[in-house]
Amino acid sequence: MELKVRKYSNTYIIDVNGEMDLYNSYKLKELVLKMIEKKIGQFIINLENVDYIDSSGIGALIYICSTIKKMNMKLQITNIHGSVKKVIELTKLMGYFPIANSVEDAISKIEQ
Amino acid sequence: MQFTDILRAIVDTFLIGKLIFIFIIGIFYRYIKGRVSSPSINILKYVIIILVLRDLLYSGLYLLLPYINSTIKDSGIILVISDILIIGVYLLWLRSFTGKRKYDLIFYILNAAFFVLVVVNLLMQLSSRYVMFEKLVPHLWILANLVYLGVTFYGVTVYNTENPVMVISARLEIIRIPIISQLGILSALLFFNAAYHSVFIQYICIPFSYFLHLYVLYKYSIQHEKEQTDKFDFLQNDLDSLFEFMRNLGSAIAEKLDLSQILNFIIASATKSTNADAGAILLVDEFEDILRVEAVNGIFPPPYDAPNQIKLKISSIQSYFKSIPIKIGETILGEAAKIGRPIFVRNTATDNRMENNTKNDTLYVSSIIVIPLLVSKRILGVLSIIKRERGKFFTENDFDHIKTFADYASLTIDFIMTYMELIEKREMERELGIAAEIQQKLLPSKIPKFEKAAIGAFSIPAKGVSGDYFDVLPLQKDKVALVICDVAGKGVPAALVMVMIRSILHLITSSDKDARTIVTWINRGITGRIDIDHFATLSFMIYDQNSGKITYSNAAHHPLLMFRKKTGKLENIDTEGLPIGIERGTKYEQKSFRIEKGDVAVLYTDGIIEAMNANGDQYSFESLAKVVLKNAHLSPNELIDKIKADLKVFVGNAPQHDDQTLLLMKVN
Repeated sequence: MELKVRKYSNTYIIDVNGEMDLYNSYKLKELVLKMIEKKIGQFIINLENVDYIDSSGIGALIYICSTIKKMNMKLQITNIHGSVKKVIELTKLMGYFPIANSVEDAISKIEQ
Repeated sequence: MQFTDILRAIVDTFLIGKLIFIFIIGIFYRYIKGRVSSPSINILKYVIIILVLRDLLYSGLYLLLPYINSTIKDSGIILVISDILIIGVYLLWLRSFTGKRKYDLIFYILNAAFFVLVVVNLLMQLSSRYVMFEKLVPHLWILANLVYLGVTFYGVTVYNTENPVMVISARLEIIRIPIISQLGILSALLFFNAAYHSVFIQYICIPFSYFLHLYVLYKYSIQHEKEQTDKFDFLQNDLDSLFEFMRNLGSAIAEKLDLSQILNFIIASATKSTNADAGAILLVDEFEDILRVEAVNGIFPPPYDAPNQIKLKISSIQSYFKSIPIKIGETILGEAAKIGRPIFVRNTATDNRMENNTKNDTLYVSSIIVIPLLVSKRILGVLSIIKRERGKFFTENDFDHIKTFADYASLTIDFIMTYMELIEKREMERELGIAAEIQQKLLPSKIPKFEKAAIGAFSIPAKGVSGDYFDVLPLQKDKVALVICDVAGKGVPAALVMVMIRSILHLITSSDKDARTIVTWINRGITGRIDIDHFATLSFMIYDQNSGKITYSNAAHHPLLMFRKKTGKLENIDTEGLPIGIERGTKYEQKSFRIEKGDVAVLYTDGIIEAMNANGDQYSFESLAKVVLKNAHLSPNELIDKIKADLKVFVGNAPQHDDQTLLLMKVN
């Protein structure tokens, strides 16, 4: 899994590349924690290039989501598709995660 | 014109001798040019062209003079013009080292004006007896040109010129030889009233001036030889120091795998091996486009301006540099990280990127090299070394050396980063081993038997540890509880979540609580007490043997699969609710329904329906449903064997990715 961060005005977009599994999901978690430490408060996690997620990956997303909710910051998860979408649906988390169709969508939701 | 005239002209003007001399210069030029890499030598070919032309023209004109019925008594004009042209060529040659200078324009304009005057003078000489100037003036003009040439040549220093060695070593003769030759010609013309075609001028003064060109070429050959030996010595030193660095780095890594310590070691070695005054390594931040100072050796002033009170103290400068990250693309350090190519500023005074470091204060830097640390086109950061003493500069050799050095350093840094990740992974795997032990103890060792329900189960962990948990709990009043649970994540924390769920379950499950209440309580008990990324999906049912009723509640697990004997069909039974451990206030639902003899309830985890074969296809819910449907008449244990067999046929030799757990109950 590879993480890339780009910036759109005050929003940081994290592009996740590859599989989100037991061995690397913690990286995403650590990255977001570090960013929060640096007073960054608006996140988009782009899962466009993630074709596989396991329960640890979901766990990481839940962790990030709940931490950000608790701190009253903003998060959108975008471009979930295929088996990732299936897993999220199965675990009934579609309503729990703030989900947007595309990065543009997410930006407009965050900037509202 | 007779043959004797030609012969006399050739002898008088020493033409053969001069041409042989020029020929030798030409041969020498070709020889040196093939060996020396410096393009500056190409300019010298114009000298040879001018010399050949002027000697041929001079002799030709000298031969023709008696036949031109005019007042021109001498062809010296050609010598004068060619001498000035040669001075011009040497000026160009100098500028190939120093770069162009605007004020040279004055030199060209004045000489162009002089040429015009000479031509006008010549025309006047042809048309009347009146002339503007005699021979003396042109030679004084040449001397003036030589003075200008001398001044420009002696203006060259190591500070303002990239490779001044050639210029400095040859300049004395470049000025001296032409001056001696001019003075010779001038004194012959003045004191002995000699003509240009006099033996003294033709045989001595003019050929003497040719030695200059030979001398310059000779300097090139010396420089070439020196370059060769330097290069060899340098390569030898370079390899030696690199090997030493590799050996020391190897032992430093073996001692302790600490990235910042290794970076400090790398920069200290880089500084030492290039005789730099200071060095620094900056690494690219993980998620922002900035460089952070990770290791510094010596005093490294930042390549940007600092507030005055900071500039007062060296130690403040140090901490100032360390504390402020540099944006990629900004300052010379950021630029190297952006373009991914090394930057070498030999003399900071000549480069505006370093203008903050050229004043007379603590920020002063005389020379800087910045090398990006690259591993397969990925930029890890930059390594920079500086000199801080006035007049001390890095050489091309230093630049080459540090490039090789940085190459190795980036591979090492990348290696350490990868290795540290690997260690982390290995620690995780060891942890998984411990977790596997805990988990094995949690699963029921023996499934209890009931009067009206036969229960079968299997659980195959992937790679020795499972996030799956199932349990069968006999309750009072002939009730039985079945639970299946999949904890996200692995390792000890996941196993602990499992322990917690099991404890709560065993504690609270009793005959008078319904399924929904139990799931809700488990969720309340778990949420907030575990790291939120360890959530669990859980499916829970209670079967009342007396009433023949099942109450089922689901926390985002796969739905309960029911085989109905009466209809011969399968049903999926599901209820709403988030996984366990996410939100304390989650409301769970439940469904109650009667079951009949021969009905089968199946609970399973992801690992079953997502089991993959070698082609990457998943076993799928449909396959599971099919086997259950086909074999529902069998006893639970037989049915489980059929499911296992079918799964095995499908998966083949493909490795198991996830835990596979299945629990089923058949009504007797």
